[in-house]
Amino acid sequence: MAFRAVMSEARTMKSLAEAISNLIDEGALRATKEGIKMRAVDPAHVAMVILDLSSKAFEEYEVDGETVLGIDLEKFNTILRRAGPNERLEMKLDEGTNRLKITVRGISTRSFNLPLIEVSEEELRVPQIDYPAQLKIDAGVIREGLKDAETVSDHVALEVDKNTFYMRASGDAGDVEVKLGKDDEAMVELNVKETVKSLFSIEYLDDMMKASLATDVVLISLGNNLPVLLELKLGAEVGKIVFLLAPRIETA
Amino acid sequence: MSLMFSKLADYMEKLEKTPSYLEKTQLIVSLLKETSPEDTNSVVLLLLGRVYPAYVSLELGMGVQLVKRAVASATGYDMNVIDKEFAKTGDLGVVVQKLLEKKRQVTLFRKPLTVKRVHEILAKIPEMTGAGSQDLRINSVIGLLNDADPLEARFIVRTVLGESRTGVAEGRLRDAIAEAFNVPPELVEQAYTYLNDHGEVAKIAAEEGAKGLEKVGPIIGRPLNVMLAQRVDTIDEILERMGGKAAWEWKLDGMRILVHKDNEKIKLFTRRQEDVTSSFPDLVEAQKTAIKAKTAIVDGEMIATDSITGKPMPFQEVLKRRRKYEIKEKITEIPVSIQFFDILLLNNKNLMGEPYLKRRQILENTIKPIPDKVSVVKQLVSGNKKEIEKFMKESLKAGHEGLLVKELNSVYRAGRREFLWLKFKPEVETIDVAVVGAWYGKGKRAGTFGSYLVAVRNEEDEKFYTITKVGSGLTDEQLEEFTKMFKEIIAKTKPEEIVAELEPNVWFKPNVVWEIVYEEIQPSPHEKHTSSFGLRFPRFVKIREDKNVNQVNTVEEVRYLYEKQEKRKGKAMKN
Repeated sequence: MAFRAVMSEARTMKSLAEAISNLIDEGALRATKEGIKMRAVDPAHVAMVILDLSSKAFEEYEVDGETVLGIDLEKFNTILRRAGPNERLEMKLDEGTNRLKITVRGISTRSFNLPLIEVSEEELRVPQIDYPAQLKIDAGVIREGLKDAETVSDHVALEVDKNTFYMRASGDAGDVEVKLGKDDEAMVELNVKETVKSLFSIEYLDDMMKASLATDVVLISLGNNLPVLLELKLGAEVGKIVFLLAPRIETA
Repeated sequence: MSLMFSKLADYMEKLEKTPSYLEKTQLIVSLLKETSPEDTNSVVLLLLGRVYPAYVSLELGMGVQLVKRAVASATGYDMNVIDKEFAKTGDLGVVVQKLLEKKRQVTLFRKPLTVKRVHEILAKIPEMTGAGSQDLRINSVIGLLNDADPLEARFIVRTVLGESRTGVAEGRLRDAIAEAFNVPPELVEQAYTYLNDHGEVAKIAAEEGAKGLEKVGPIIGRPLNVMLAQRVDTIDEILERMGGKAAWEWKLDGMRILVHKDNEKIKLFTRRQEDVTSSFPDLVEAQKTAIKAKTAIVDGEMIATDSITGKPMPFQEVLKRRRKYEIKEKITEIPVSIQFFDILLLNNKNLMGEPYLKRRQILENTIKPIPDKVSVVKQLVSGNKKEIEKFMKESLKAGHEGLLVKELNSVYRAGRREFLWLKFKPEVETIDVAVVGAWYGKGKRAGTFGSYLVAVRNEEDEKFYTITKVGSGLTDEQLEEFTKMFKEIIAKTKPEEIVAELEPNVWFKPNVVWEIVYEEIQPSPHEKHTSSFGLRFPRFVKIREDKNVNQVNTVEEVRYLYEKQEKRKGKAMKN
């Protein structure tokens, strides 16, 4: 049991911690020589996070066999908030005290010790879904679109037909429609077998999109009243984070 | 494969809906038949709204507030909505069901609940103690609710709160278990008196049938129900019932105690099956030498004695010894002793089926008296009225209550109040009742409860039927004190186990037992008192802290007392 990983810039880890900690209280980071993996669901079983960070995402990376780190994600995020995006980040397991030592190096060097916790690991199977629609678009479209939808409702419909992606919301305050056509610049790819639509909680989507930067591309897999799958590539050879979110049922 | 919890929930819903005794029994029978033996224990406990059998003093420790938090998380509704819904029905089970039915957020996956899984998860909750355990407990419940459909959630929440509301009481299970597993009801009942757990009884019946039940005997270290006495008024009647001769014992007013001895290990249980061993280290020590046996269960009465007068102290003094702190200080202040009158088990041999006289003989041979600590109660075997009257006087003179009378060949009938044991007290008539409601007082008693509605128990449906309003006999201090005490336990709506026509200002869940004295029992129209009887000049005597509400007098007993009284009146008129 030994683990040490260094990132030259804290940026990626900061946004991951922010997104994940909003959804999930605690998680088990599983470190092997390939990299770090985590799979967890929120307490209400509405959202799932699958994190896959390659060892190549780190400047330095050492691990003995398989090391499991039980993390209180809220506390982890509180520490990472203190790191600047361009500061150097080191995470090291102190086996003696069972703590994760997080060192941030910028103008000065700051160290934080995060006590590790027991995390009960449920076996989580990812629902296998054959999605009728897949598209790749700029994450900024979704992030802004959620803010638009939020002006009238706490849930939003994601819809796709052969040519267009829509985000639609309606409430007492009125209706909102966000539209992105096949030929728009922010639409990277669009593969649609049939027109589909599912309804989702804005709050959850919002938390998930915090893992992305506006210029990132998000892969969306969508069906009719099916969970949505959001996949964010974290840069070349860095890895990916996948979110799965269960739909809401349309109000009668 | 363990029974699906949804199946159990369906049955519980049906049980809740039907008021019919027969239908309820039939439902339990078919449920038990569908259950595999490995699940029988869990099914029976969950039907009763329990996680552990009654004699196990483990609690889930989750009050309404904690469970509300779990409900909020699982349904996605905030506390305001839950509080509002809860105020409507006072039943968090109904609230969670309704909100889950309205829930529009789908979950990613649901692992169907089995009876085994639900019971295992709930049973682990009491083990969660210390820092952060509250969150762990809440998360356990949330985890179950996430996998539950609305109906299942209703019964999970109720079980966590320790209520089932299915109207399945312990007494009802006997017939159902007997029918489901084709065993005689008497055997089911007998096994229950030893095990005090219908879950375990049902499991034995399911796995081993009648043969298994027959083998069940008293278990050292497990509390069992004590045998009780019926009340009879005259020596003549007693002798008539007992066939001219009986055993008479001094009746002490103390705390009924069963002592379990397992080599050096001693345990003391009350008749309410509470373990009070730790409160009486002085008595525990004495048992080690007083009971000359490797293993034994001995039945007796614990009393406190005034060291100056040598007379027994009031029963309330003994109660003061039941404490968790300052135990040592009280040992000298309130010295207690125990007087044994029966023995149920000796060196692993069950004696409960032996006749009284033989048991008494064995008891005398087993107990080595220790002055001021342990003795065998004074006894007289006689059919001579003069001799008995003299013995009664001696008992009263020594400061005791009267006499207990025992049929010479009677077996020990655990948990039964029959005419094999009788009690004979010279005093005025008193009965034990459950306090179920109250009215605010007027004038001098404004602001406090001025009178209380009290009830007796009907053994048939295990509900409480009102018998009188009582306000006199309470001192000003008691009025204040009881008001404070009862305000804590006001029920939002009339508890379902109360059958009443009168409408008091407030209802209480039957919990507190009062002894009240009265002059006469009168028939009462049902529209007034649902027990069909009323009391003339009822007065409060004392709280019976040693009794639980299931031990109050029954409607049947009141009817018996009424018939006795009328017979007596008839005789008086003839004279």
